[in-house]
Amino acid sequence: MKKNRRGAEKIISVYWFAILFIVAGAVVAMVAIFYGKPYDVRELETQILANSVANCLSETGYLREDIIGNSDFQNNFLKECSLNFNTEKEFDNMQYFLRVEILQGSNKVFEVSEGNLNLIASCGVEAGIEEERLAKCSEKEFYSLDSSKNVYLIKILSIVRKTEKNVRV
Amino acid sequence: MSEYKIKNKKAQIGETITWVVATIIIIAILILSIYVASLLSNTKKTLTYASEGRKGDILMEKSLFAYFLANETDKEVIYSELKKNDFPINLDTKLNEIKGVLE
Repeated sequence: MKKNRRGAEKIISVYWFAILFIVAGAVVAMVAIFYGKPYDVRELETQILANSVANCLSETGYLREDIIGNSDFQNNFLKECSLNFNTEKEFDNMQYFLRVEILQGSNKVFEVSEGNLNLIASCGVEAGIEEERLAKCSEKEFYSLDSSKNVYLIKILSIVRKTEKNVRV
Repeated sequence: MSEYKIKNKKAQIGETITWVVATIIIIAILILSIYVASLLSNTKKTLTYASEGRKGDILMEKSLFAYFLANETDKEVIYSELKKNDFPINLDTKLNEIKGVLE
């Protein structure tokens, strides 16, 4: 009878290990399922991009003096504003688009566009159909003055795609 | 001896049923938990500028700097245009806050 009891104990210990592995496997599966879906930070990224541009163009209410009428600044906009549109190697096309317009009244005194112009097609569409796979757009504006206290309206359109990194496709 | 064996067998059957039922319950709980985890993962995981409980907005603050520096007529234009925007924080509260600091 003692032998029989030892056999039963062995079976139970094997059973316990099996249950332990099943529970551990289930916990791993739950974590993988829950955290497997990435957070969509593109909207936040468009805002950060717009803020960086705003910081580059205006300080304490005044517009940078070397912007308007300066073609060097316009041609080297990304470098001048310390922006980098490079992305991970998995993306073939550029994943960002940026357009800055400076208006004095209704006159456009400065305009610059950088990045992938094709992304602009997503704007307006995404708001209507809530499609996650489209690029995220953010259109912001703020006011600034020059040294002569002329008022300028600065419009910033920033677009981020990077769908594969932010949405489970 | 044979009566003892039958009693022992009954005990073994009872114990086995307990373990089988326990296993089924454990597996059912695990399957339910995995299902709930998959449901929770499908909820919208989007981080937005407004959802982060922001206390400031850089673009609004830049416009307010311009507002305080501008002459009276431009001030009115800037304020009325800013009022049309949808900021994550209240414009008037921020305006009064900056006024309080400047005074």
